[in-house]
Amino acid sequence: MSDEPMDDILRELRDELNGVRPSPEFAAKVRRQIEAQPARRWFGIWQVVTAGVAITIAAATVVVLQRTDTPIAVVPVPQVARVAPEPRPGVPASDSTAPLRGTTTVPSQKGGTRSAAIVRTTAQAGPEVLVPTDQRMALISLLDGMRKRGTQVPSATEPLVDSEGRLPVPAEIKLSPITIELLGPPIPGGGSRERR
Amino acid sequence: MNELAGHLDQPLTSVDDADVREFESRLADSSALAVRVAYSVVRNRQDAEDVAQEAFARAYRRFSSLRDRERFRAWLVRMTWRLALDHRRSHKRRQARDDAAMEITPQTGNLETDTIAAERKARLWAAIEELPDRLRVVTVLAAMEGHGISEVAALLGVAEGTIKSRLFEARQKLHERLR
Repeated sequence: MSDEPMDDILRELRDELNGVRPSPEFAAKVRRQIEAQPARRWFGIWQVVTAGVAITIAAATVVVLQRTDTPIAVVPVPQVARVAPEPRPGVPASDSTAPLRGTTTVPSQKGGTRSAAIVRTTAQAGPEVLVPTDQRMALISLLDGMRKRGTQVPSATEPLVDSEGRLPVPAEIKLSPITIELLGPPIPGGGSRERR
Repeated sequence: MNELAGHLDQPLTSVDDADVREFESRLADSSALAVRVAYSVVRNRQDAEDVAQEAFARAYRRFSSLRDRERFRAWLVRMTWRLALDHRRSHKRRQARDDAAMEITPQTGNLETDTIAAERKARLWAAIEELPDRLRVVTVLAAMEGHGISEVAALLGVAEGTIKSRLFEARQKLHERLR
């Protein structure tokens, strides 16, 4: 490829581009345009939109957190005998009388049954712990007292120390003498050892 | 008060005095560059000035946020190039620009010679416009006075080797289209 024609062409391009100069009024025009620009407000439409979205998200977060933190009220549900609903004609009777998981059948005002009264409990998440009634009551009163910070919880060491805080003198421990009896001779014909 | 601020009736809101002085200096240094870059796309001097003017106005609005002031010219070239492309796509004077490209500017006084020169120039610009964008901007910037490989590389933010290879490729394509 001969470079001479291309050089001529590019020289023409160079001459043409370098012949383009801004007019003497160019700088003044730029200044006028800058002057005509509206002053920037301290906020714009996007700032307003962004702030609105942020406030909405914050409000939704607060609502969700409040719902999560609200303790679920324990509603005592009376234990009643479940009454199987009368099968409607045409509908096969199945084991639909089995209670749904997490549902409790409660009596209706009219003596019938009202199905599927859903009681949400947190116990579903963990294992069920059975505590005797007296211990349960004690625990409830203890926890209630701790919440109110008004209940005097007896100290575990209170009965041991005296009024001056001294521990009682340990009592002498009496041990009965230990006697070691000799084992008897093995029983002839006996195959097994019997525990005496 | 500096010259630019003197033309403004209201106080500047986004650019402080030091920035105004610096912007004024950049405006004086880079006006020709911006107008030529715009001209290489829109091919009309008045449109090129309008585009460059818009580019400077935008640059002024964002000048305070430009951290590396040494990159101002590169920033301005990119902005001007984009605005010029948008202008060319949408402006109603496109047809007038194309017609103006065929205008015969008397240079030698000989009508035949001037006509041949005008046609050759029109073919050259048509060939440049057919180049891919990455080759076209390199060709135009390299053709401007005082722009060596390193200057073009700095303006476009690419390696000098890339500029060399793009120039070679552009030259080949122009040669094929103009022979």
